Amino acid sequence: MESRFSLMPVDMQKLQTVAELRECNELTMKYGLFLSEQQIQDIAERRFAALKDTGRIEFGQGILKKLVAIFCDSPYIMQENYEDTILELQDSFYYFKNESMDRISDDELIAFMKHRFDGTCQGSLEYLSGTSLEELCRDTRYGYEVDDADMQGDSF
Amino acid sequence: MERDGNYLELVSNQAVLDGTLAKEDLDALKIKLWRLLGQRVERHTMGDSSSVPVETAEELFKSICFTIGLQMKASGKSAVLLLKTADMQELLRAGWAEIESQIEIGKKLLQKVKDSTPQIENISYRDTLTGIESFFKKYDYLFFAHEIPCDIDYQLCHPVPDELHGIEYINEYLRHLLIESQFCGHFDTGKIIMLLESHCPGYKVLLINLYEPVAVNAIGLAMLDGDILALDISERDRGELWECFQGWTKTRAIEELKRSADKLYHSLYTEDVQASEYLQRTAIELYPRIEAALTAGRFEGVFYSLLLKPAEAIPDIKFVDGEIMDDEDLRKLIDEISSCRFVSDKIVIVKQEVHSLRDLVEVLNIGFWEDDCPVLFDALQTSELALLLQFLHNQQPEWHSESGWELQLLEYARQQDDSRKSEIGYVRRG
Repeated sequence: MESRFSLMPVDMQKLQTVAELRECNELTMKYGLFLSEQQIQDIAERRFAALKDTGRIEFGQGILKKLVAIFCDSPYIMQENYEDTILELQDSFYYFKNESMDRISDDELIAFMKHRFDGTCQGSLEYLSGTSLEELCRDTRYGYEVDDADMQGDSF
Repeated sequence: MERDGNYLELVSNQAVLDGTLAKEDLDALKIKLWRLLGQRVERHTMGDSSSVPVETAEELFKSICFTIGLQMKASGKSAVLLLKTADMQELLRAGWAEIESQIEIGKKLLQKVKDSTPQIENISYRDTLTGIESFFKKYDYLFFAHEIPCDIDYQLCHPVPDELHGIEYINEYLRHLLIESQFCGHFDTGKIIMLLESHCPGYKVLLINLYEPVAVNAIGLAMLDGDILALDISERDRGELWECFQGWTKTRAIEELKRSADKLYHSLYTEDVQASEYLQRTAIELYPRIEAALTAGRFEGVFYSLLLKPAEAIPDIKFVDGEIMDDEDLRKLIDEISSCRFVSDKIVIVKQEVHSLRDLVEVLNIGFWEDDCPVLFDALQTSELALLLQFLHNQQPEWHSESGWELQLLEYARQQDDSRKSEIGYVRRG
């Protein structure tokens, strides 16, 4: 597999990711969040590392832009922890995408993460990945319906 | 890349090696395929997910390559020219149309196979046909065209090459199966069953090929100018074949096998090139078995005699032992047998008094010595002999009787003619 895809235009995707994250800065500025050029490069690099670690391949825009756009208004994200939080969220996203056996769409998973992050997790990434996401993926695998109240973040 | 036998990759790699496709062209092709893969992934996830597991992407990619490769083969145009100039999206669409037409061909082939299926019970054959029927319902050629979503258990005489995938594999499998079924259709089903009983008594449940023993015996008979349709190769025929093959070199033997296959073909078919080629291949591939049989000194495992009684003609055999004698009575009986002057008297007593296998074995252990045994065995029924042989078979290797009757029995069984041997064997299997 690696040999087959190794020559695929990963560099092009990196450039695209970097450009998108730059554009995100315009959106996040009003929340006091800003990524430096170095941080953007690091996040873009980490994207491919996370994909490789989780055994996934991403096409098109990817989810970074969506993650930033959804999470930027969280009361638990500040400039100091902005980059680390985005990196963690990105890793968790791909990990739990696998864990849910791809039965949850990107938008649903990001929405769930956001509501739990702002809700019961109170900004704790460990709590989010250690309990909420585990529970969601377990329920998804066993075919249980996700509690609507939880999806809305009302459980907090 | 060659491991998967992907036609598109093979062609592009070869073209690069030949110098007909520049590295830049290959890179451009990869980028086109990558974009196409992105589109297919998006369609597969219905836009819900921007990423997929590597395994899923790999399968989707294989499907794209398979479909495009199929279209390239079908179009008859220069593969390199297509790689350089063609729009991959268009090739993919044309490939889907090609697959659809091949699916229709496959359905017709399946129907023909069903119509020509020999009336012989074989689980793997039946299940495979059911499986292929479900293939046409489950086959998702838009995303996984290279996959074969069904179980194919039945073993063909000449397997389909591993390089073929998806509908190509199924159609080729059905073509082979049709040739085999139509070939078997030329022979009497009862005779085929008798041959299979002899070749592999568990033919109903085991993963065996039904065509091969029929074709091999028919080729052997064609070689001897015998009655091909009888399918029976007698001990004498085997001897003649043995003589022939022993005297021939490898090249001559293969030539003779091919000639016999040709003779067989002309006596069964009017015109069927594929069947002719299939038979020729069967004949050629028979030689290594013949060579091994010549080394081993036995031809029984290559050319079979028909088992005289087809399984269907004989009811299931169940063994219910008779009443066991009281120990004291048995002891008295053995004393009485031992004191008999003539073996005929002993046999009369055994026939009248002994009603169970255990008692018979006890009597044999100390009542019948050396020359008495063959006379007794002559008087016993086939089923009784079969029971005694089975009894010996179930004993530990170190088991021995006092009288040594077991050695006499084995020698006696060895001396029986083929017909009696097969009867005894049949009862034992039953």
